[in-house]
Amino acid sequence: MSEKITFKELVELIAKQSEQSQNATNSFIGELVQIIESGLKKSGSVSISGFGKFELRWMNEREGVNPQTGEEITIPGQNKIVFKPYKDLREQVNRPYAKLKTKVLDDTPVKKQKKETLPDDVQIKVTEKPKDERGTGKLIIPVPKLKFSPKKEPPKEDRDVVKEKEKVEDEQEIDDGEDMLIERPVPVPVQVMEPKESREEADLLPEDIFKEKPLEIPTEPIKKEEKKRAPLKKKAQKSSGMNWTYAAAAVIVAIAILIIFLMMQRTEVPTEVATTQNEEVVTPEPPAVPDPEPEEEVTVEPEAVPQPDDDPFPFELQSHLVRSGESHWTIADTQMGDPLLWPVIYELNKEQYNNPDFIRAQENLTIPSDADPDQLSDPQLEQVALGYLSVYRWTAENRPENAKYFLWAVGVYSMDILYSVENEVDANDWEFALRR
Amino acid sequence: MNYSDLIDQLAEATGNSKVKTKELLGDAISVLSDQLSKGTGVSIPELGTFTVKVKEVQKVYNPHHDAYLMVPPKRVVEFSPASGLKSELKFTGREDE
Repeated sequence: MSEKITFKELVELIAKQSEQSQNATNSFIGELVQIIESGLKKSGSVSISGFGKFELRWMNEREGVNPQTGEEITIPGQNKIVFKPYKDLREQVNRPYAKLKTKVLDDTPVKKQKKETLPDDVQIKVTEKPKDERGTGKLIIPVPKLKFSPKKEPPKEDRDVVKEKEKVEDEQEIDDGEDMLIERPVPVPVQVMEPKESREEADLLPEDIFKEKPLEIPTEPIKKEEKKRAPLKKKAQKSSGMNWTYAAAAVIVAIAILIIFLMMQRTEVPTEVATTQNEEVVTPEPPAVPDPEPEEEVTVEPEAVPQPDDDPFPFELQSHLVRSGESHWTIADTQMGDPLLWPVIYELNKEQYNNPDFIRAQENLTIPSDADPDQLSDPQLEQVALGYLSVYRWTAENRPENAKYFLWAVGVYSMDILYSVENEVDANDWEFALRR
Repeated sequence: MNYSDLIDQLAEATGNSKVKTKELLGDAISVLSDQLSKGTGVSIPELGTFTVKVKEVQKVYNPHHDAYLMVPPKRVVEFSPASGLKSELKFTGREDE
């Protein structure tokens, strides 16, 4: 860290990079320094894009002590030259530590309390979340964590890649995931041949399934299955990601065509029977059930079960007894993994206490239990945005000067919701909220 | 002075085209940033020294949320101006005072 390169080495490096002679580079930097100096003299600031900004800052006259003699002296006002690195440079330099995140300290052992208050099945999930394991209790050194950046969420395929990486990095998580998967109620599979295969797959990707659980539409396992299936079904399954009924119709039609085709084939080539047996099992299924594909059912159901379809709220809920010293912020951090999600809790409980800045101890709050701040689904993001919107509305009435920040935060989570309130909000707040 | 002013003046002083100047400056800046992100300090005569410093973990208090926060360690760029530059600009813009 303390090592330095000399100016000569620097010139050599720059000369190599720009394919110029060292002399030319040397005089180029000389000119640059001259211009920075004259620029500071003339306008007081020089900005270099992608790097930083040099600025003169006037320091007022102040009292000081001569450190050698202990004598009190007056330090006259003077300019200070400050350099403010821009974001690019800041991030590049901080890259080794970029994964570290600010943690809220909580002096009481939350984990213990959680075990006492939560119902069994919720408790299993919460305690097995790796982030909760480190998020609770007394933490002295923050642990690396992926940054939460709702705007830059990669497409699903990328997310899965990321998740796979995480999985490789942390064997412990896999084990936890496996336990959880086994304890979760798995529906009795319709087909006898399939479940083994799908269980294997589930074992391979317990993290994926766990993380995708809050999603409305489970996509990953279906895609995996697709590769093994016939192209005809692939088509049907793709559409099933968008709409179950369409998928059902498409698959029924597809199977009907397949059956007719097979019947015709079988009369001619008897050996075909062996290869198509797998498909034949499917045939009694389609007319009755909305989930037409047995193999689909096997892989999808474990995810669909814990998330009831008739509940429009995108988070699973649990109740939480507020202890003294807790705030929205700390509850969101310990229970949801990200303090910035606190407006969701406010939104859920605002009837109880209106003012988002205060919650009363010994009060029972309804809070989400399954948020994964790195992998929020769209409905969840919208819910966070709605939470911020409620906070905005309250703040706009009570402390209008601060309200714009919450409106801005609405846009971070969902631009749709932000635009939907364009006409209700204060014009200045609106203008601020659009700045990004 | 913004970036384009800087490029204009630099192009004039070196006799290169603006496009060329921009490229050269970009190269110089990228080398500087690379060195800094490796944690290597760089000093440029008559301008000053750029160093990378690790800020240790801090415990801070957020009065709004009544919560103590642990701010993780962080690597930051520090700049200390060359003494010549510093004395040159000491009273710039404040001559009247």
